[in-house]
Amino acid sequence: MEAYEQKTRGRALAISRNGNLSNGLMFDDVTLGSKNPLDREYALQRMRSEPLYEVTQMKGDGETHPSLSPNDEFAAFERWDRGSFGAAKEPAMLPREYAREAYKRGLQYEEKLGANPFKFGMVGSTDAHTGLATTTEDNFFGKISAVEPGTPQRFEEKVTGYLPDPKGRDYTIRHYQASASGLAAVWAKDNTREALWDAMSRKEVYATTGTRLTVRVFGGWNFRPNEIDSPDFAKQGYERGVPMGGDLPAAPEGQAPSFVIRALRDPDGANLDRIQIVKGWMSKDGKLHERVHDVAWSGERKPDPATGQLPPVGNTVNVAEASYSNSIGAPMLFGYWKDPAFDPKERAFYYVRVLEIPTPRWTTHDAKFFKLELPKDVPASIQERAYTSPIWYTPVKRKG
Amino acid sequence: MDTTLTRQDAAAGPQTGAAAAARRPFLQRIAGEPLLHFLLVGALLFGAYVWMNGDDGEAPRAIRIGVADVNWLKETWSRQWQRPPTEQEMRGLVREYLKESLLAREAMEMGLDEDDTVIRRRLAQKLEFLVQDTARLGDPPEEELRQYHAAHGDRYAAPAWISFSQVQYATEAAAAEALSGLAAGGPEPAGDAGVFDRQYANADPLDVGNQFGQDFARAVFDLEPGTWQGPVPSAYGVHLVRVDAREAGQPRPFEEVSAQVRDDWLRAQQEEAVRRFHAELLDKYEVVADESIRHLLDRPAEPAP
Repeated sequence: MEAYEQKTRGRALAISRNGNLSNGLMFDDVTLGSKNPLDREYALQRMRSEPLYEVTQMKGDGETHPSLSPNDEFAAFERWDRGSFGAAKEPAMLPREYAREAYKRGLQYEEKLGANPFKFGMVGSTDAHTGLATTTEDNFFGKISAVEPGTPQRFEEKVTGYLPDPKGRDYTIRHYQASASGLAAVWAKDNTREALWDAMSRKEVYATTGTRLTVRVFGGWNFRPNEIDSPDFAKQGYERGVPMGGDLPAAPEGQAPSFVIRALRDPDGANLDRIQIVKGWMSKDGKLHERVHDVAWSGERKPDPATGQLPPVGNTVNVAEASYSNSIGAPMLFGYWKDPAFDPKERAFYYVRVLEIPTPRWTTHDAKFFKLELPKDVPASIQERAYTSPIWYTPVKRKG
Repeated sequence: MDTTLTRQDAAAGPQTGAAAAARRPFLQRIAGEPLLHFLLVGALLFGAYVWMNGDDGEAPRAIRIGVADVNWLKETWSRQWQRPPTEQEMRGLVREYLKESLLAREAMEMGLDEDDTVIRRRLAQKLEFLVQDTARLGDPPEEELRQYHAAHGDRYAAPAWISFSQVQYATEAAAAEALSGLAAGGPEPAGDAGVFDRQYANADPLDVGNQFGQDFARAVFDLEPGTWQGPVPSAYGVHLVRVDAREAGQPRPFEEVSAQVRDDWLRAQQEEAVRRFHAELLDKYEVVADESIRHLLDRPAEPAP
């Protein structure tokens, strides 16, 4: 890529994907080829060349894993965690495969190396080998033409597990476990090649798991709660804060970061359940932490006073009919959140996750349409979601 | 009588030559034959050629590469990459082209082009392109294009578009209240805090649907222009809408779309030319088929011997 840029004065970026199938290689502690420990040079190079990560696609979702985020009730989404294309998974590999954990470890690396090798933006995509962008559950054309709707092997076709595992373990994943994912959303100033490239390069992008959710977030030091209703929401956001993918400027004395968020449902899709902010940070002792906060939600629900958990939004899915109703959820959600546990000396990142109400999974649509049995170990309904690129906070060493 | 057989005598005619020849010794006759002279000269030349080219068994074969070939390489590459190739890239292109040409030549000599599906398809495609090109000859008369345009009017219609103002409310009740307030002489509807622009100009059904949902788009395109109406539900809430201007999907006049009509007409001509050519080929060739598969053919074929 460097050679291309030098010779032609063009610009190139790369988008990596499927950390969940890399068996620990995607966010490894050593380089891929020579297995050297990561250094500052590597971190800078990697973020220059690979600013984006395809966090969700047909071969599973890579945001996080229940073993890494045990307190996140939405962490077990469309998981492909049995192995790679050649061998079964070992638990020690997981922390080096998922985006949220990588973001956290990136903070540690930044402290150690002076540069963060895992400071990427997130997008979604399909990875369809059909040339068809069919990302909605009711229109999923599968990975290859051999598993298009109506083909006999559409559920059972093996996607991984062809090669023998060195220890004889079964790590097969079949096509019914594939997801009708995902989309890359880009906040570009213009619908031109240059503007899209620039937006991707600065990480003002987000991922969805296939529906057209509109999500916008700005982080700053002086946003007020009523600004989420402001008619010039975006203008204020850009002027007084940073968008997704950006870095918060130095913290004014005594201030905590505040975030203003707007989410709109897919105009022809399902209502929204809630807006969340995922915070990850490194405490003074070098340990890594994460916490998911519910920021805005539909209806009159209240978090449980004991656990802090918000009750689920409900489920209107009729499995037999593969239908749902927008009688629950909200078409738009606006949210304001200020970090109640902010410590200006601690490195941190914040990203937004938006969840829809449950809708029928594509396997449920198939079962109804083709009169098939529902596959056993995938849910009949799912909550589609969006993940924005993070906003990072980096402490500044103050003199005096 | 002169006993030497001269060239002129031989050329004068068989009778003279034959008559003259009959009167001389056999060997002398042969030695004077022009055919023999030609053969001798030819043998001399051949010998000289072989001698001059040494003893490398076969003579080296030439593969030509000219300025035109290199220009073509440069052109096609530049069109794809939107810039001219560097010197190093040019050398690479030439190297690849040469390699490819040598392989192709050698492969054909070895008969590798026979019974090859890809080559057969490519040849068929190439011929079809040529036949299509015959349909390009000559500009169509405008009258014919106008007829085509008239016959396929729906293909050249512009989408309907609409300019409208909208305000958004959280509930149907609030929207209805604002509307009745307006009717009673109250202010223009202001709406609750919304996220959308108040005014949309020249939007087609797809634009409106992408923003508000398809149901809203359908409803709005049915509204009468001029007054605030509603409540109209969208994906995001309830709206009052005033259509300011509206244009139904009009068929566009010939002048506006003449380029597209010409392209479509041309494509129709090409398809017809190819279809006719296929028919001619079927007439030209006698299809001979094995007994067991003859039922698969469209036309009866001759039995295979």
